[in-house]
Amino acid sequence: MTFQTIPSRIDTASELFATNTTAYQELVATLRERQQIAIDGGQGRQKSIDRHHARGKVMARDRIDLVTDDNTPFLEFSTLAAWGQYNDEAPGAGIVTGVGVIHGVPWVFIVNDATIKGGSLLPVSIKKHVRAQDIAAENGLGVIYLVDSGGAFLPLQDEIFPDRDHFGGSFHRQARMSARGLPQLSVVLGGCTAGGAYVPALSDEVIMVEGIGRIFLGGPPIVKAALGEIIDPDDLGGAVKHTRVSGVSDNIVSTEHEAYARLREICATTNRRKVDHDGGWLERTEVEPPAYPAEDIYGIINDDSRIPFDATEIIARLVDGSRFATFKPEWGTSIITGFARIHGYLVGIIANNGIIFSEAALKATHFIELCEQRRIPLLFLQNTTGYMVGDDAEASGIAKHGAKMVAAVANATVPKYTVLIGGSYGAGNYGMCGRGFDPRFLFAWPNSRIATMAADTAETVLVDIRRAGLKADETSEEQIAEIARTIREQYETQSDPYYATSRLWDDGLIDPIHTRDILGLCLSLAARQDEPAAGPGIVYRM
Amino acid sequence: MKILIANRGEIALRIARTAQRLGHVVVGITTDVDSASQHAVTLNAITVPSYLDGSAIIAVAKESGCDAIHPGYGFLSENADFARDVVAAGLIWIGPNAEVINSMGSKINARAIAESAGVPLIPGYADSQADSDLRSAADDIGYPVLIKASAGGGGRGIRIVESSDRFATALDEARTEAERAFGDGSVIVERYVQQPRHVEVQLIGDRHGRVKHLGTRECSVQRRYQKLFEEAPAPNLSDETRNGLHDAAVRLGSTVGYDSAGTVEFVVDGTTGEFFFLEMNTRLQVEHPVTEAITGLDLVELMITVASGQPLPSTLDDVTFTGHACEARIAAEDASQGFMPSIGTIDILDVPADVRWDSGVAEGSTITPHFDSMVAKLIVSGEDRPAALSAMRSALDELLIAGVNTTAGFHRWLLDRQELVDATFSTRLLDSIELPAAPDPAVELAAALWREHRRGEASNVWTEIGAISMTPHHHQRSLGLRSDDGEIHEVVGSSETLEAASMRSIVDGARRRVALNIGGHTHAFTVVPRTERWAADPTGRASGGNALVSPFPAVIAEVRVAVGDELKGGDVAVVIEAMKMLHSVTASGAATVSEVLVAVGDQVAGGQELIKLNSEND
Repeated sequence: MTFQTIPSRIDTASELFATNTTAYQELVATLRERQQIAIDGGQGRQKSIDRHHARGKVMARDRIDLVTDDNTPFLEFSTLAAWGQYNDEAPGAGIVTGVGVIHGVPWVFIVNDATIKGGSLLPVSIKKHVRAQDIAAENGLGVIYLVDSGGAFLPLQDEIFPDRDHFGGSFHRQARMSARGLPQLSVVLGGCTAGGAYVPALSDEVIMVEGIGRIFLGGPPIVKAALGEIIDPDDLGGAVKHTRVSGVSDNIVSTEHEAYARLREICATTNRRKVDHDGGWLERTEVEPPAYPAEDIYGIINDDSRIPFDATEIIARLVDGSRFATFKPEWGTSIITGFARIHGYLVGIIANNGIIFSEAALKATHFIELCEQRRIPLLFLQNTTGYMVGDDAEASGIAKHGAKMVAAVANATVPKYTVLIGGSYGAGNYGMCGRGFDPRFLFAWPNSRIATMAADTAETVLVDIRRAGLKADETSEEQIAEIARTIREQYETQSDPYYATSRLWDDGLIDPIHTRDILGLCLSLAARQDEPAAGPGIVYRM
Repeated sequence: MKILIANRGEIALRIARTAQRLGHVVVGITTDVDSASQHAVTLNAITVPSYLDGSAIIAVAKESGCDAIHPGYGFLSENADFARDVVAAGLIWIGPNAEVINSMGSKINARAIAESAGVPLIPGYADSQADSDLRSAADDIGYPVLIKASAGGGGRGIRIVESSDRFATALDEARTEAERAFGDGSVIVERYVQQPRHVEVQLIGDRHGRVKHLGTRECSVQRRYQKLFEEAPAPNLSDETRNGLHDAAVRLGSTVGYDSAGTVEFVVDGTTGEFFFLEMNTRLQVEHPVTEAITGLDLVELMITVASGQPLPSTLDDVTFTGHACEARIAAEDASQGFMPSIGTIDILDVPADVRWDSGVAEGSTITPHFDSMVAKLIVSGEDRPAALSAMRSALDELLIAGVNTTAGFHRWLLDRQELVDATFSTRLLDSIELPAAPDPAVELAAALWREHRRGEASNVWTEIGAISMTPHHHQRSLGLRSDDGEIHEVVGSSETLEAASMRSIVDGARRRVALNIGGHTHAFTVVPRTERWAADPTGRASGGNALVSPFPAVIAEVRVAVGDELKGGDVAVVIEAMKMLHSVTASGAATVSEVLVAVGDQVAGGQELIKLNSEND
């Protein structure tokens, strides 16, 4: 109530607005189509789904619905991981991750999808698994593993097994989280072979579903190869064996439904803070919806990406009451800084309107220090072509000013959240808290682009470099044109948001109209934690 | 004055209300099985062995210093001996004098008196109990005829005879039933009216010889001679018939020296307008509130006035009848199951405003099989009959009563029947039409209401945002709703829309209860959590294992099973002994014994199989 409402200058009756809206709706439709493929589509998937159902098994997302509280959303991560990779045979990388609520307590879910390559783990699957664990660790959440996996995808074992953030890293994380008091719970709904056996084995409590759940370090084929023994998989590692004989499991249940009833019961014994935990460090005030409809965003973002849009108009559609207390509005205007509330939580917002100049970088640095001193979470809305180049810019010390901003972001201890609402180019990506700067969550809009530089710029720059390195008389203009075409194609492909989300450079592509809600959910996770230890807390006037 | 109310339930509370308004002190009674009922608690009632134990009740009245006893209806209200004993004990009897009760108590007697008072009787015969005399009387009257118990009531001891050759059998049955019900096998034979309406006239008399009528009541909506729905005044009567009824009733009252509130019941032939004396009820009737609604009088007050010897107030000289009133008896019965009594605890009760609700129950009241199934009377009025019926429809659409089945939905259905709207009914209405089946439980609506309620309670971002989906996957959460008959309904998926926004409903978050009114029926559910709904019955689960093993080295002390025995979870199969302690080896779930591998005295190793099983899922 205290902050002024942003006066919107958008003419929602204009032709441009209508054209933009139509174009953006197509982007969203594409997003939906591709997400639908991750849910139950893809080549030959139907057969696997039918087989899954025939065994009385439930689809991954339905499993989550059976466990989570009624009337609550599921904050799914990286639905389109592996998009365009592995011959498009592993939509979503065969794993579903996200945050859901049980008895009012948020939990990270890591759920194998056995209808994709039998739930086998591909390199991106491991990345998604590990990323979900990191989200849990940073946000103080317990993890629920709904295990139904054929284990590592052996043809790519070198990209899954040995490195730091590979399979071993996931077990390292699991053990460390448990030690930190973040409960690790497993329900075994399918195979847990070899390394996979350690997911339940490292869990605090385990439920096995009779008839479908199996745990063994070596499955029947390996046992046969190693020992010459022929043994039925259920006898080797079924629910009865592990619950009544080995003690690897604590509970045996007859059905999946029974497993989820038991799991909810176990969750109720974990003594965790709820999402509406009193005495969290972030104060929450009464929520006021934005004064302007979220759907306006479709019409604000220009279909022609060369025409900029004003990030202030986006802020007006994300924050409570569209109210925004601007910081230093008359200086360094290509970055907008100020305070607002999202779902009642106070945040400091940094948004770009294009190129970052020296003043803008200094203003942003000042503002980051302010939020760090005041213990206010930071929200970065990336919409930049990068830091300014050129004689004047270099003379003004853009390199050191940009570095101040990068350093301030890197050292800020308050929770940071990043949304790619437009371009994320060059060092602008760093200063605006890109993936490398560990924002708690990073989401991207389907219109966003991410690369060292825009395709146009890359083409010019790289062609010139090539031209300089080639002898003029030996290089035809056709060859130059071919080089230009290749470079442009590479940049266009690689800056596409689906290319990015496929590789987990973000936590998911989202429809802009869900952004406010998603940020509210993310902030609520931080709010129930203890206040993070503060950094130096110095505010320099730059 | 201090008045003992020798009754229970709604009528005890209704009498108490008037008595207390007039400044009298009230003493209630109850019985051991009825001590938790609303009247017992409210009136701080004194326990008696039975509501029919006259001497105990009189003793309580004397001990507690009462001046008078009001008997209500039923129980001892028409027991002349009790009335006499009350007076003999020096107490005021708030009711007609014992002689009147006695003379009207026997149908044969009452008919004779009515005849002498010039009140038309149904052509009939009551002179002799000889089979042949009754048979020839029936032949004279013409079939169909009715045989009914002389001392009867409540529909018992009644037979309709279509033709002469069926007479003997019917007579036998009627006599047997009358003997069993009333200890008196005397019967009378009379003309069976084809389109009978039950119309009655309310009387009030004093001990100074004045008797006034307070208009008619229509009580034709009956089931097995039990009234369900009453109105005042009786509709569709010519002035001639109406005045004739009034005059006949007053004549009869005057003839017998009637000195309290009472009712003369008539059969009116719906086609001819003829009327015949049926019987006189020497007490306050269940349906008296409809008369009060159109006269503005308080019949209990008048009864107390005249019982204390005062003359009827002069205001009764110009009683006017204003508008129309009706009463629905809300009984704990399931109309779709032949009005089968429904027992249980009323845990939600929400009564619309602007109605008269005479009730003996409150939220938390338990309906037991010990007493009458009527839980309340819903009375409304309007400026005319359509207005009154419309008010009743609205009231029934608003009423919520959960925990037991009630007849509220039946009444709501009835109010849309043309026979009722046009008042073309007879007492056989419910024999001739098909009653509606039980409505399908409104599970989807209840689920939507529950979810809406939970959204309203939202206290954090997650519940405020609700189950929206940020991908094309729509949340398939399941809600379990247990209806009061115990059946659990599962609603899967989101039930977002509430079509019937005007529908009356209550959601009690703490008790996880949802009640909603559809067509007068209260649909009530308890939301059952998943942990309860999906949890396995520990004795019902398949054992999963194919053998019972010894947990440690031991000696077999006892083998309790044999091949073919069916076990359930927890059943002891073998008892073993180790370290001088006995230990039971039990089945973990349902299974059949396929082989017994050990015998008493055997030494077994830890992990050794004792019993082979075939579990149920094999």
